[in-house]
Amino acid sequence: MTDTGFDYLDVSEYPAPEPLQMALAALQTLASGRFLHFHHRQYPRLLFENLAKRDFDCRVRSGTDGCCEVFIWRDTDGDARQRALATAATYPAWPDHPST
Amino acid sequence: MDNSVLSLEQTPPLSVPLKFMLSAPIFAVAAGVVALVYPEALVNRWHPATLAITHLLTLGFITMVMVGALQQLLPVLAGVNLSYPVRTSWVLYIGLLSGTIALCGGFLFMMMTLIAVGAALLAAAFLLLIIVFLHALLRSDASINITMGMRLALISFLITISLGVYLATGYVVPGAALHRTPTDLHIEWGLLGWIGLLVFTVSYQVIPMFQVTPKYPERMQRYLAPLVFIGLVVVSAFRATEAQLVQGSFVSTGIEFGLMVAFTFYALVTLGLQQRRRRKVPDVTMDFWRLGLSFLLLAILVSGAARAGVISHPLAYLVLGALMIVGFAMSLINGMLYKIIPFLVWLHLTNTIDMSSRWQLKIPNMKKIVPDKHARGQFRAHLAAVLLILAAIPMERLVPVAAVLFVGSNLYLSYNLVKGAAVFWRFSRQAEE
Repeated sequence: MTDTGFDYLDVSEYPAPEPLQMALAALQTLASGRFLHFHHRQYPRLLFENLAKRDFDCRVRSGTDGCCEVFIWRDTDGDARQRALATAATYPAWPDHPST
Repeated sequence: MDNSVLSLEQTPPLSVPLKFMLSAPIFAVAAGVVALVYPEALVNRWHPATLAITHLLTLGFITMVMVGALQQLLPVLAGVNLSYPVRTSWVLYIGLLSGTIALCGGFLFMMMTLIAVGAALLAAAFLLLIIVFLHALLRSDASINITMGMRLALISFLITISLGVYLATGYVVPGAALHRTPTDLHIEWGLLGWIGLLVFTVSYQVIPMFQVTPKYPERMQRYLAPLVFIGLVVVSAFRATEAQLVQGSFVSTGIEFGLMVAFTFYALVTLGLQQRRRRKVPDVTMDFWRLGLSFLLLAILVSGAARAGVISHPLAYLVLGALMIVGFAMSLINGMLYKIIPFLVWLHLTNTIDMSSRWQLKIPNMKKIVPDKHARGQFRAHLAAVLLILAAIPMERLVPVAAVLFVGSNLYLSYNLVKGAAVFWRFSRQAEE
């Protein structure tokens, strides 16, 4: 099996606040060198402060049908950062998000 | 597109919205008790007890929850914080609580001084609310669809209050006449403007978020609320100037028909979106919304039939009032409380645990904060109460049964909400220990 270098989490079928709960749970087990690709049907406004508090960084990109793609890595994990930025670059920018 | 990043630490403390939401069912219980003591209230629109019941529900329940929820929602939806949120919320709460009690007591016992005191307290509290909220909305850079709808709802509320104060002076000032037109406009601006426009605006955000439905059509979000507002302004202008010209009444009737079409459109689109939700799992909030929207459609049918002269019974006004207030608005609000309270409890517990850095504490699942079994039990009691209220309007002997059931349903709601809130108090104590 090929290692993709990231964990993928699709929360598009879950009501608030389950997407945030699922994202925080997934980040707790995120292995070194890997990033989390978080796929949501809408812009996850509550997520970003939680990421900053837990020392994670992210990039936000547009997916298909107005979906929001967030690429998240540990602040201190240079490899994961590089991979996340490379994958994020393949998606169009999300308008006006502070980190884009 | 609204991309504001929400800061949990800047949202008001849980006590700000919670005291409004936990107080609301008590006013509905009081309305049921008044109906039990004065059963004739449900068969006569102008009975003092009818006025008391109507205002206990519209101010004490509906507005109480809406004001509480807005203080929490405004920072989330519009990305702005209110100035002095705790102090402002206490002033609003005390004004709304004491003003509603005084006004309704004044109506019930026809004590003019109490009516004057109640109207003054409510006017002062609501004026503060409108100034604080409009000021915050003017600073917001959130989507125009959110801010415009909220601004129009608040302006509608201002018009409702102004007409209410004018009507109250009719009771208080000797010789002042009570006219039918301002009474009708007071009701229409309150139900269609204040409640209706706020329901539109909030549902555009919360239905896709909590019920996992597709988004509302963009054009609907942008134009429906302004069109309803303009319709209300034009209808009011015709009524206020008593334009009895054939052309005038034709235009006015046309716009009233347009308002009915707008609300029908809103109800059908919302029901359609709920039908297309991604996860077809049972959800008591959605059942409340479906029920409320069905009563809205029924109210539109009754209103249309009354205007067309198909039904001319004076009780049609009472049926319409019961459908709009208890059937539509209270059902939607009751259902939303089962999402809002667990969500707020969860949100604030997350924040409390973040601040105490006690990550090992496991926050209870949202579904366990208000158990579905109890929420569903209260839904059944509410449905039975609304149906019995509608049946009791033409059959007075059913009023005591309807009133007891309505009291029971709201006591059950109160129990469910207090138990949900208690989860926050219990866990936040653990986090602080």
